Amino acid sequence: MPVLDYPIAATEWARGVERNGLCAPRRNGPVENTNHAGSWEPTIQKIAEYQDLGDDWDGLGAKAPTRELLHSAIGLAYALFEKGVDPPHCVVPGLDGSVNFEWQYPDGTMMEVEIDRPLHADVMLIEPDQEPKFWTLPSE
Amino acid sequence: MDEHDPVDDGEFVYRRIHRSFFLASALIPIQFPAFRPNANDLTGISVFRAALAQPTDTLGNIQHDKIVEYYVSRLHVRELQKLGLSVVPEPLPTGPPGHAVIPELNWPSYRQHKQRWKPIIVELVRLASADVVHRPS
Repeated sequence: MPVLDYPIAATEWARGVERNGLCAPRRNGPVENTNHAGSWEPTIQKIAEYQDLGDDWDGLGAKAPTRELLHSAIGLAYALFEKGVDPPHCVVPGLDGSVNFEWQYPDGTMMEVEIDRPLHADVMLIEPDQEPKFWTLPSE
Repeated sequence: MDEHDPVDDGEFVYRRIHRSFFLASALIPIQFPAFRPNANDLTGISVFRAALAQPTDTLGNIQHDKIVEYYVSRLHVRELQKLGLSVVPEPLPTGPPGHAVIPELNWPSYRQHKQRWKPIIVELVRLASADVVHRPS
């Protein structure tokens, strides 16, 4: 199962954020140069689009993700891409200003990465007939 | 029935789902953040009692241009109880009618005990994904 079951070092994540300088979310313009992100390209494009979310984007008081958090989310996407992790099946903004990656598999396996603050994420892995597993990123 | 009456385990409740949290092509279309409390949910996440409101009534306090961005899912209170959750009336003075909360799923508790609540939220999205009663037009 191509899930994120190995470490992501702080240095790897930070390197992804630096690389993100090439495709930084920009006000009033498209995201640039994500074609080097392979299968993660649509995910990165979608995260960058969240820069257009303002507070109360859902009409019920949701908080918009900060620019710093968006950079972190894109940086983590690059780090995972370089680790060979499959892109998530969906990426969604949280009501609390987070960015969330989700994977779902037909056997019932589910995984979530919740980037809840810059350079920090909570990971949950649920596999059939096993206790849920939790860890945080960066892992080193 | 009065809005303040205790919630019976035979009742259904509605949960509003923003379209950002709905991916029709996914195995489980509703995504986890749809049931995750935020800083506004100090007494629990909002639901609406089906005995007191129609699905579209629940969108009554959302600004007009955003109403079209919402799905509504239905949940059986008994199924919530099986997950260790309850539903408590919390009427809103200006509506929509039938407002209630799932008090266990409040922001302080979620922040302190994420690992406890996340698997339960997974079960909630499974249940909600199976009974979507209103879709954006």
